[in-house]
Amino acid sequence: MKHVFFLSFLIALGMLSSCDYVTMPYPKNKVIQGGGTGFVKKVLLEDYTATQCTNCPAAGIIADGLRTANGGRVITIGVHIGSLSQPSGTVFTQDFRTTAGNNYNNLFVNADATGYPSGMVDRVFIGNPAVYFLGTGNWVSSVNSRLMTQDSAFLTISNTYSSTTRTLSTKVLTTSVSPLPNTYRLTVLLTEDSIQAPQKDQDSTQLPNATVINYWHRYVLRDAINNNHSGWGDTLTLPHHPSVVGDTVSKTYSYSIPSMFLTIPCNDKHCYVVAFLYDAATYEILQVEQQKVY
Amino acid sequence: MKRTYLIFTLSILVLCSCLLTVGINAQNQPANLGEIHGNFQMDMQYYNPDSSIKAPVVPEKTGMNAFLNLNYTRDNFSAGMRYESYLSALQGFDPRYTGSGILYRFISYTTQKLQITVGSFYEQFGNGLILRTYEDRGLGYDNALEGIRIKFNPRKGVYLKGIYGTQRTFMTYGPGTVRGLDAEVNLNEFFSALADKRTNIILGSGFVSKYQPDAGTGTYIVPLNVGAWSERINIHRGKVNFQCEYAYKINDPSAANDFIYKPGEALFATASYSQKGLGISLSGKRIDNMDFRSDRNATINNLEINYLPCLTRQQTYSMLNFYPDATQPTGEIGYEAEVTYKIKKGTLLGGEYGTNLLVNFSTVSGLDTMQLKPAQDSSRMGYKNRSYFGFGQKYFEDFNIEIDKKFSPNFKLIAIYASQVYNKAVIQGEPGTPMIYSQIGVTDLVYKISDTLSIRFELEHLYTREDMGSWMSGLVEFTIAPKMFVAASDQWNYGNSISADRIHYYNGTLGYIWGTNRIQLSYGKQRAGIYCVGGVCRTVPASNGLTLTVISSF
Repeated sequence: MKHVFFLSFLIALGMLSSCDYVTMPYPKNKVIQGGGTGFVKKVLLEDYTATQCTNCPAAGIIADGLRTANGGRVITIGVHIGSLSQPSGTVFTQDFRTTAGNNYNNLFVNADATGYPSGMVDRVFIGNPAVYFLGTGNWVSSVNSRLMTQDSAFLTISNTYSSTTRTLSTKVLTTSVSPLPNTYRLTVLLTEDSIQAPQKDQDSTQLPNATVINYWHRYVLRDAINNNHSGWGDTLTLPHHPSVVGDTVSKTYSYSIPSMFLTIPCNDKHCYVVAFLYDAATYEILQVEQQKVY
Repeated sequence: MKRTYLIFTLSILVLCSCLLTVGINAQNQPANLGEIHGNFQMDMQYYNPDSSIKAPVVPEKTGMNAFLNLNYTRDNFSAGMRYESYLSALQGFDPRYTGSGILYRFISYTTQKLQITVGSFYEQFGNGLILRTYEDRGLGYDNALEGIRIKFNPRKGVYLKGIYGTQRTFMTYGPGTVRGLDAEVNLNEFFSALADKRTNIILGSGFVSKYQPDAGTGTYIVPLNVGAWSERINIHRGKVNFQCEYAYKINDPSAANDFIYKPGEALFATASYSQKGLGISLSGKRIDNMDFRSDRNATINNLEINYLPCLTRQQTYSMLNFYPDATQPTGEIGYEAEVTYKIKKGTLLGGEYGTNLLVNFSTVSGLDTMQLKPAQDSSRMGYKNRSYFGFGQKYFEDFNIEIDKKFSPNFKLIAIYASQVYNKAVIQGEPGTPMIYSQIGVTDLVYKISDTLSIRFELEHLYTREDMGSWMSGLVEFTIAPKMFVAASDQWNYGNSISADRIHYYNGTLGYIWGTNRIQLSYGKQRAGIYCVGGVCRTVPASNGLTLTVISSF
């Protein structure tokens, strides 16, 4: 009898010894996931810019600094808008404007009236009189202030992409980490980093007209993936209303990344999916996440 | 699935009834009906809306958690169950605790060398570094295993345990399967030649494996079977005790570790010396990516297989528990030292009854690591350690001095000074919040008016410039033994930089006890914070209302 039991334990030991070691976690059909790192508030800084705005590169430097200084907790988007983004002459032939960017400019910024560059930090309605847009002098303090706020949701982005067909399937998982009492929308955008194109820059020594021919445009808004390119996203319905901690909803979108947006080629290796959750009434962004397409 | 569980539960009840019937019908011999024991607990709270303390609005106005344990034993046979009800769960408990049901039930029988349990069970291997299932109602924590457990004692000094099951997650069971085996050998019992030796040595070894299928919708190639093993030793000789355990876990990408493939490790060691009037203990631990769950997508306290001990003093007073440490399973290193000393009776400081002194120091930091850039981390190791025993960012530190002095048969004093450092950004997951440095003083006075009447005063103060600023707290408790007690308390955030938030959190409690029953009624405000037991925590939201607690056992 003793031997039977010992034998049973040895068999059990052999069975339990099954451990799966994975040396290469990434599948060949590459899927990339971002976010979901826990309860960390991330901040969206939207840099409303234009290729023919001479002050705008200085704003881009501030945005770059905030992004790199905060270890992934600050996500930036360059949104080209207004009349200074219209193609002009023989140098500025490219148009970075988008339907979503135009909608944002019309509602929040109106840069032709209020000036370039301008920015929004989590679309917080602030000041006296209250406005959404901020001058560059307020970006650092606003971002730091938002970084101190408690998050109420977190987002996880999973991208499945075929570079052959340029088809993207992006899954955004939203998880409530505190009760969400209002109506919220989820916007999913496509951005592209490091596009070389002309840019006016008052600090540049390149002539003529302070134009930098091979300027690096960073994290440029290229399109809105959901809700018909509008940028307003979809209403998000969580299992409970108000939501409870742990409520989760998953949204999956299919999108074909064009090889060109208007006349500007799109390098899919530099593309990112940016998703943000915002309050439908106030537009304030609760949480944002970004993930490379592949 | 639910039907199976229902049948199982009904089977237990029918079996118990049959056994009772057999006992009753046994006319020719003394009836052995066995014994039924149990206990009941209900906590119910009525919530008042209170925007001043940012208490969440509770649409149902009340919450209720209730439990009934029922255990039947007869000779070597035992069976039991627990009925639970969350209608709705009290604020601060995970809302996935909802409804009522019997999630815990078991049948067990024991022979001289064998114990077999089917159904639900709690188990621990060693210190729990690779397996510990347990229940803590205050935390809303229950990771019981549902399946089979066999304990086998093949010969003197050898103890074997095997488990196979799925884990409870709120009102259902998790998707993973947990298998484990543990062997412990007491050398002094095993070898008769060592039986009379003063040095006692126990060796132990455990292995746990979890299996979870891959739904195929994830991002990475994940291991379906993840194994963890541990080795431990306990040496005891006279006044000295030493124990050490090391655990290792293979690649286990999960939501808790951001899906990295780095192996996990945990090292825990403690040494102690005790003699009459003096106790010294020193403990240390190092945890590296040792979060181990039966569901790779689980978060917070859900479906944890193992338990990583917390090496900081378990405090009982409210201000000392204001900023409690929470174990960081993804990585931390720390140690704790404690000395207790009793100054003898009849000395200048000892007085007529002696004086107990306690000094405790503990510190916990992150590991000294370096993040790997994604481009250079194709195997997703996530980070690498700069030095194995290096200390990184400080998470928590606590220094305590406690004096426990009885002045007369009727008067006793406990006085505590503590200095704490608390990394709220890491422990409560609120990046950007500054480190909190606090100094705390506690005085606890008990005066016995008569054999049945006593009064207790508790005065506490917490000084800090950070977070919500300083607090003071007071409590008066009047006990009419053995039946009744009345208490009133207040916590005042007088040091808050925002004057509107300098709030009094008052509370009144009335309790009545008879036999093994207790009814307690409390009314007042509860501040928001976190509640921790042994390094495992849950968030407690602010609340204002009436709480009724009923506890009974039989």
